[in-house]
Amino acid sequence: MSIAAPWMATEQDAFTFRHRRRKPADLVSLCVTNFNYGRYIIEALDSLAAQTHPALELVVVDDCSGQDDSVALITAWMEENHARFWRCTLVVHTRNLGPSAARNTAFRHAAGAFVFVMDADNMIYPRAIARLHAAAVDGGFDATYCQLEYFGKEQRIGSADIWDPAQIVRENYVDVMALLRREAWVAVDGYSHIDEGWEDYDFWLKFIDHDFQAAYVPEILCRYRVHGNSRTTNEAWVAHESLRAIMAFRHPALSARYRQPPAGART
Amino acid sequence: MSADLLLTLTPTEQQDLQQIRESGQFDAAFYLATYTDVAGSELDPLLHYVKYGYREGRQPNRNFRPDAYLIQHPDAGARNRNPFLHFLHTHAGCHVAHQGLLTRFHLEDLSIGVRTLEQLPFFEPGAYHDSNRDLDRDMTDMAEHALLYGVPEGRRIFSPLRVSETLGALCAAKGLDDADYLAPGGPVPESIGVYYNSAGNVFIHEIAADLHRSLSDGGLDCRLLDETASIDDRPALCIFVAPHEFFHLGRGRDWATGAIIRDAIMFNTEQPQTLWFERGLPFMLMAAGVIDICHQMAESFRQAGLPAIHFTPTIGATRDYLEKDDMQHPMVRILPPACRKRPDPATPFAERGLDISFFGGLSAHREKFFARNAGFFAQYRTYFYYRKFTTPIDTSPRDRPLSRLASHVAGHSRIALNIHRDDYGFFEWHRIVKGAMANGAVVVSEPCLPHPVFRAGEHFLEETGRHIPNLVEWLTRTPEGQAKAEAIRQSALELIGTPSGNRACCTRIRDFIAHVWSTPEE
Repeated sequence: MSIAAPWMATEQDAFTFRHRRRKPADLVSLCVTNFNYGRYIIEALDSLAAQTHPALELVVVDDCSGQDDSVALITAWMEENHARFWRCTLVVHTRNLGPSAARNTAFRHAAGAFVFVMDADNMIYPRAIARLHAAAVDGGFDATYCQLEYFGKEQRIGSADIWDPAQIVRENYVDVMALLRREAWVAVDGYSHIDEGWEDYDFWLKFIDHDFQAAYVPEILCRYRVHGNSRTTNEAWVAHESLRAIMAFRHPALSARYRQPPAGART
Repeated sequence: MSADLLLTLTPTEQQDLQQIRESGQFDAAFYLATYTDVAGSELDPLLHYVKYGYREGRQPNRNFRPDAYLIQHPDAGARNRNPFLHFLHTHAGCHVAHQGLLTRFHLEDLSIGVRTLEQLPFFEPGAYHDSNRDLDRDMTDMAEHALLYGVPEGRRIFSPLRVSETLGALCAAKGLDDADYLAPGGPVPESIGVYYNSAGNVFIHEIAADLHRSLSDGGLDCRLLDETASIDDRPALCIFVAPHEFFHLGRGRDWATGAIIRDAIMFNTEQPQTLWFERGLPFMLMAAGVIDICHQMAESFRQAGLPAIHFTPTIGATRDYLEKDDMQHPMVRILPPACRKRPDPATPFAERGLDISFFGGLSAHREKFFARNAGFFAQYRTYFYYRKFTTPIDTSPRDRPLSRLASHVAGHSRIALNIHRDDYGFFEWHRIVKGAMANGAVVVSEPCLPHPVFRAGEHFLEETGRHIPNLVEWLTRTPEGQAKAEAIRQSALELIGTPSGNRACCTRIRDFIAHVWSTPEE
């Protein structure tokens, strides 16, 4: 799968609302992907409309939700709220393609130099985009991410910490909810589809393969909804092992470079 | 009957009986409880031991195991002699008769260590047995086992309940006084070494440097050294900072001998509920004295009969600012440009570029606090380096600047948060004083163990985690709160910067060293 493959353009533009004013230089494209999250997506969109960063574009991709009225809900919300955004686009996949393809579709429609990716069941606090964007621009980074607040079935804090390729190769601790320079997404050929999951991890490894730089913004500004866990621990562990093998195959140089365990644990 | 028997003792046996009696080490109650056949015979237990018991391999008390002793001292049983008498003759004053896993210590050191542990208020033999049920309750001296085997084997020594209860009692006690352990103007060693482990925590290095400076300012000839220094050419007095790591890392292990420890002072920085504290425990129990960063902990050592003093490191005139290379670190580059400049502690509350900062590692207690209040803090300009990596902060390029960064960020923050690692409200000097107060931030903390110098409501503010949002909102959003914040900030800076206070602190630590130095060895 590549973002340039012509057969991947299976989406229909449902519609676009656009302002007449020129594209702002600090435009951030908010990319929301939805699959049967009609019960959550309005909260998600409301949290985007409430951002303190003024120059925003919204791209929502519906990945062929067949089990709820997501598209109708999003359409109604956009009709009411499009004035908040420089441009507002709804794209509907005619076939369910999975999260990687949905994110790639959203990014293809995005016009900002920076894009922010979010699943439709999550939310962000009002300062999130302004802070992530300022840190990326001021610090000259290709991506910025903040700490997450887990909510829903579990209340806790996410696993984000300082960007460290050696540590990420050992285990992923950076969520997909991050601000990215759109060019970096193009350079790594977008998100890859991995049937078993971990496409977000794979994306960060590709990011490292290309020597892009990310930075951790140590504030808790994004919210990640925890659903009931359907996998048993044992199943998760089996999947974990095969996923590690898939990652090692896809990123052999990184895997070899950092395979050594960390220096003996000290006090 | 026993009178008749006494007559039948040989002169040697009579002499043995007399000597054992004088040593006070025969435990008649133990003997009768363990050897029920003797209890049934109505024989005097000591008589039985002297005449028959030792030949049958029976123990005179919990500590003396004849078989173990004979392995180390094969001569002790020669000519059918009672090995216990050999022990009493060769190790007068000792009650511990074997070294367990601490083979580099003398029985004299170990005996003192066990006695001190018995008196340490955190220790309770029953609680030790509760968490180490593999031990035979009747046959084991719990304090001896804890020191000789428990710590080296990594067993837990103290029960959390006992630790809490003891800390609570120490906090409630009035007027903890260390005056007995000061010798004002007394003689001091001609040279002192302050040791830290170069592979250890960076904060420990800083504390060692601060202690070194305070001692030098107190007029002592003092050097800052690490575990790679020569053991043979060591100074007259060695002070080991953070024994829980010093003696466990790299060449620090070479220093863990009785000859070095018994003449040394340990500077404890650990909290009593942690495994780290327990790892450092043997060295403190067998040392000549203890300096503790915590007021209440020093008192607990004094209650155990150890010379001990509380010492708050002083803050020097220099600050650990970010270095040139640090400016390229991503955690610095994500700061708003105005907050990358060198901070000035004098910057007023209202003019600071960040609202709230926090630096600290992952714990269940902190997780709950931040998860509960994430929405509240999201409104503010925060810098929460709540570390999720479980590896210690080291000297890698990734981690090297973090300690300096904590001070830097506090220097731009209105409020520095102190959320404890767990439910024990240890006053964390680094987080509260060195990182935050010295850089002009207002410290907002969960309730702490009372500190003799820094007082809640005056130099920092205390509130339960549940209500910290109310306090933060009041401080940042109301004129009354802002005025209070400015006043707290000022009084903390003033206290830290007062030369006379620092001088008094330096003199006290000097006088404590003079006391330890002039106390003859037992």
